[in-house]
Amino acid sequence: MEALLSAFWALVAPVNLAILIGGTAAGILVGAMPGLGSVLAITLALPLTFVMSPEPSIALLLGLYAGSVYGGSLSAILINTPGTPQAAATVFDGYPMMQQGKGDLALGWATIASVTGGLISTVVLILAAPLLARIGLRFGPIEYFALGLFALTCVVSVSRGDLLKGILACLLGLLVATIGQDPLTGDVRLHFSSFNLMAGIALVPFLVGLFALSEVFWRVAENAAPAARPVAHTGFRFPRLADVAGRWRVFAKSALIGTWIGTLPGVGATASSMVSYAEARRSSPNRDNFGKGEPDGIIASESANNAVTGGALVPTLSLGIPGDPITAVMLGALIIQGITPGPRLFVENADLMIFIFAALFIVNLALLGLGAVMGPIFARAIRAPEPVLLSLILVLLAIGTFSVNYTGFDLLVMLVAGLAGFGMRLLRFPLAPVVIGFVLGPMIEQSLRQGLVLSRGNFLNFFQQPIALSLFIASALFLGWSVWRHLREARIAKHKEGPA
Amino acid sequence: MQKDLESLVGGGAVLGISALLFTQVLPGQFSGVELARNPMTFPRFLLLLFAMGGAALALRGLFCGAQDRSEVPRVAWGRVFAILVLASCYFGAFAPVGFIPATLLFLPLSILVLGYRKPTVIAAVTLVAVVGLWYAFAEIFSIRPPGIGMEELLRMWGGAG
Repeated sequence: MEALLSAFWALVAPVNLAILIGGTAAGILVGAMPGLGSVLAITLALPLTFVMSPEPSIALLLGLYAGSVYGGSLSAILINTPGTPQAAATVFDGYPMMQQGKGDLALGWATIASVTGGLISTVVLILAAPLLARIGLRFGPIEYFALGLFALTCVVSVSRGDLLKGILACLLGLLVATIGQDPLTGDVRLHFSSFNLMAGIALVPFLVGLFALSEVFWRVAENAAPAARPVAHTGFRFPRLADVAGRWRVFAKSALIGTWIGTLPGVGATASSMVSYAEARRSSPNRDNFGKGEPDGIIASESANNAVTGGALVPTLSLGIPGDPITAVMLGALIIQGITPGPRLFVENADLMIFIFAALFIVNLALLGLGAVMGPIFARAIRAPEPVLLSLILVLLAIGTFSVNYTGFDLLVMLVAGLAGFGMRLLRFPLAPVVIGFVLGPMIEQSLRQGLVLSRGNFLNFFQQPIALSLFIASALFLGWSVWRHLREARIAKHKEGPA
Repeated sequence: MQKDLESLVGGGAVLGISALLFTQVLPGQFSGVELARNPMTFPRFLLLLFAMGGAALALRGLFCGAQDRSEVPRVAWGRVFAILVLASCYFGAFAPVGFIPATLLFLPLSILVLGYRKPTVIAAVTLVAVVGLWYAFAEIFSIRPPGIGMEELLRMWGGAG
């Protein structure tokens, strides 16, 4: 009861509410700009969380997360270009509706679907996270090592493209995390005799460089001539209540698909919206209208991608295992605040957990108002000239990263990470495994070595713990399936090339 | 035999990074310490896997065709190089020169280099961004950006007037 009251008072504090709403609005704005996306929104805001206490910083990150996922639908509907990859499936029916002069209604459907998806996934989060945390309380170092390994295997297995490159990206993240102090003994290692490196690579400059700065370089590299984007003006109209009620099955099914996929490490919102769209197309009574401006298509995509927000927070909060780069950054932000996500969080910081749950509810309700009132206004931001936008982002990255530790070394780390990220994009290495490896690295190393100490150096003892063993088997199956799929795809491609 | 340049370069880069990191985990350090308590155990194990993966990628690039057959994006190298040089100078000058002068120089130059040519918009964006960001960080977040502050600047302006 005390925790509930404490969370309530934190939530109704004007500053926290303002940050929550402001974060959601900023998230919609960034999400609406094609190519910027949720990771950039979160990494840009990450340095600001340093000067805030835990509640407002969590409010800001949650607002940005949900807002940016929703914001992607605006540009998908208005200019046939998804603002974020998560909104890719929204284009299929959103833009045809826009062409039919029903852009206002398409925005209304997208908003209602996003809000419903977000709210349903929040309910699942509230129910599932404490249960999972209770199981997590039984975990020792060996189980945590197996769980960390399982998360890495999932992320690597489902990373787009080349499996070997995914594994190498993950190893790179783990290696970068080993620079500096050993988490067990405190000895310094891999420091190249640099005083700055002895403290290790800080999370903010590394992530900001890897994702945000490399994104700027990538967009500069891709667009030889910046083209103006024609944006048709449109208003906003909510669908009739009877129409919404008539499609409740699509709403519920898509939200549950999104929540479920969100809990799986590495799969993410893009896959969830595609799976949900495919399922709606298969089962909808209006399936013949899909691709021609069918609201069910928008509902399936938007409800699922926003439902991922709550789903992805289930393993992040209850076990401390992030499922995607966005939750990895959020996990890092929480750790910086002195809060360690994991099973004990529910016992030690119950008020904070209630705050997070309630904040997610408010964020999703705020989407309803912000989408309706400001959606069409935000959509105009899409027309901002890209050179101005990219230059402003560079300035924001510099001031944000510098202000964390007030040192020029962080700017150097950001630049090097940015170049590395750009090189990786160019050579088609996935970036998500790097950040998951970097964030999970210390936990995996610590639990591995503690497990080795407990088992007196005998690694075979790791396989005698039932939970750990099942996680090792799951990891092996996942990796084996990925290798099999990879080889099969290569064989099919070779076979297709053969006759030619 | 068709070579896969992407994998070859990627594998080479991984091997290069491995060689660089190997200098830091040379055998002999913490040699008497048992495996579980040795700070080098984990990095060495990772490095071994990393180098093996890099070698496999490079070999695959040499002897197998391209794995990913999707179109390679065209890169505007001139623009990338220009923005990289500008950004490096800006990041380098940020602390010693200060946020306001460095940004007043960097922002318009960067916008111009990226191909936008409306002077009034560039000037307005620069002024609003510099003043707005300085105010937001110094006054709202209580993090004073490095170098000369807005109030000193205004005082100097007033003094000169």
